[in-house]
Amino acid sequence: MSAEAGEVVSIIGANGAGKSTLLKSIMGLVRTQGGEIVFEGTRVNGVAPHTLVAIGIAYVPEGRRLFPEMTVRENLRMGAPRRCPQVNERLKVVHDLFPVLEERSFQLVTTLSGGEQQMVAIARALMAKPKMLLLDEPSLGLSPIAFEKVISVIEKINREGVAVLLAEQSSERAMEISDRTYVLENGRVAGSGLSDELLHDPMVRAAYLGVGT
Amino acid sequence: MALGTVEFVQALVNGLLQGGFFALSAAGFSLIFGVQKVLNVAHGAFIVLAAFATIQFSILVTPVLHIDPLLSIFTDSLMLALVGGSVYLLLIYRIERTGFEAPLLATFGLSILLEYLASNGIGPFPALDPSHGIGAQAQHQSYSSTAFQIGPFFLQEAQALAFVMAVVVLPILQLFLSRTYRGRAIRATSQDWEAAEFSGINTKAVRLLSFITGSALAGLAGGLFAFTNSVTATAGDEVLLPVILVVVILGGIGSILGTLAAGFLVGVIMSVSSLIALTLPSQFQFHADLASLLTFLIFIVILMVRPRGLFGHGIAE
Repeated sequence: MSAEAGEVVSIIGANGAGKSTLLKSIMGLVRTQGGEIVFEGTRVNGVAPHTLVAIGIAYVPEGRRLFPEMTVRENLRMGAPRRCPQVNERLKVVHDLFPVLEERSFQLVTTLSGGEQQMVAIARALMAKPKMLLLDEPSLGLSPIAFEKVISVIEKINREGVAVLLAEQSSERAMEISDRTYVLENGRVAGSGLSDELLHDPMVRAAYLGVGT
Repeated sequence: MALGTVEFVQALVNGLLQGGFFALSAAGFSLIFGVQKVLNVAHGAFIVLAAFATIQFSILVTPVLHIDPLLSIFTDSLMLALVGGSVYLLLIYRIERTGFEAPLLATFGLSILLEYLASNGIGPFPALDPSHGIGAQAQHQSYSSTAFQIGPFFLQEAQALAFVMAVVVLPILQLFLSRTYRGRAIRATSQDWEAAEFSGINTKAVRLLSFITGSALAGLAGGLFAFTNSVTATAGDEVLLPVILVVVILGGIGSILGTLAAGFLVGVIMSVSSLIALTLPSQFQFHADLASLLTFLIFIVILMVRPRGLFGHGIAE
């Protein structure tokens, strides 16, 4: 399984297929049983998550996991490293992507809507200026309009050259914006290919996109 | 005995001063519990260890170098920072991810060890034994053991210093937590350590920092404890820890300014209830116990009304 710079790769599969576990393993949040995780030519199994952030991997978890007793601005600040001369430029970048977050800067994140909280989670990850972004179920709890907003931002980030790994239940929309797709089944890769082709594969459509034959 | 206004205000003043010491004692415990969910039950023993060091300082160093032993509160603070850091790295770090029982038992064991050392002496340093007056030694040697007078009221100098320390140090700590990157990283880690970690925060370093800071506060409190009280080896568990728990829970877990306010409240309640106990007929003259009884009663009533403590968000989150 791989993702190249500038690519959007989606991971689809049923509930419990291992999508979240895959992302958590990459992020060093669960221990790997075997296999190898390589980032830019370096093996990163067992590396602490904060070190992975420093070398360019950022993670937006399922359920957002914001710091509840902090403001929007503080949450964003925590995404950037301690010494970060460009912190204001990075704030400007994420505010351009999500203008509403600038207005909400000094509100506690818990006062925001689900869609806005998802934006904070993505913006926090972007504050690390990652080379690769892992997104776990960004559609969860979002209205279709809010999800479209998130999708358009993912496309925009990707155009800047960031590799995006997208694990998503709303598989069809995820596949539409991705270059390639992996299908997970019981923790194994059951299929992979160009998203355009898989989207038109009757087997995939029947099994994962909820389309009858 | 009639209760005069002067006595009452004097009790209020004593309570506030004593409350400053309580807040200083409890703040480190609250910080450590707030950040890493570790109940450091050795916190009381840490304070006694610092008091022990100050007493030794007043016996061994002061007569030779003529340094006011009151200054030893700063070396105590440094020493306890080192002790706390070592305890975290050697003991707590290895077990804290397993839940809160293991650190609780480990720090309980540590407090027994420290009590043993204090009651038997450490190496060339004599044991803490108030019957030989060693517990009170720091007071005799101090140039600051005097009380001073403001109007009709007497203030004991070491107590006043504890008050000033609490009023200065705890708001600085609060500012550190709310305004600096490291402080925010401590708060982020206390709210969701995993999220802090994948946001790029080195949570091991953060936990070490909070343990060191909390222990340094115990050092500061302990140095002052040597001047304000007769220190016994088991004072940490018997005298300090119950008060610390009351103050921390009243103030709200992890809320530093809440701890400060709760410290004052508990100090005043204790001192006023001892005063009231003194005015009772002689058959009720068990006033030391009555003061604790009243304090804990008020504590229970407050918790019934506000289960999250007066200021904090409580353990619920």
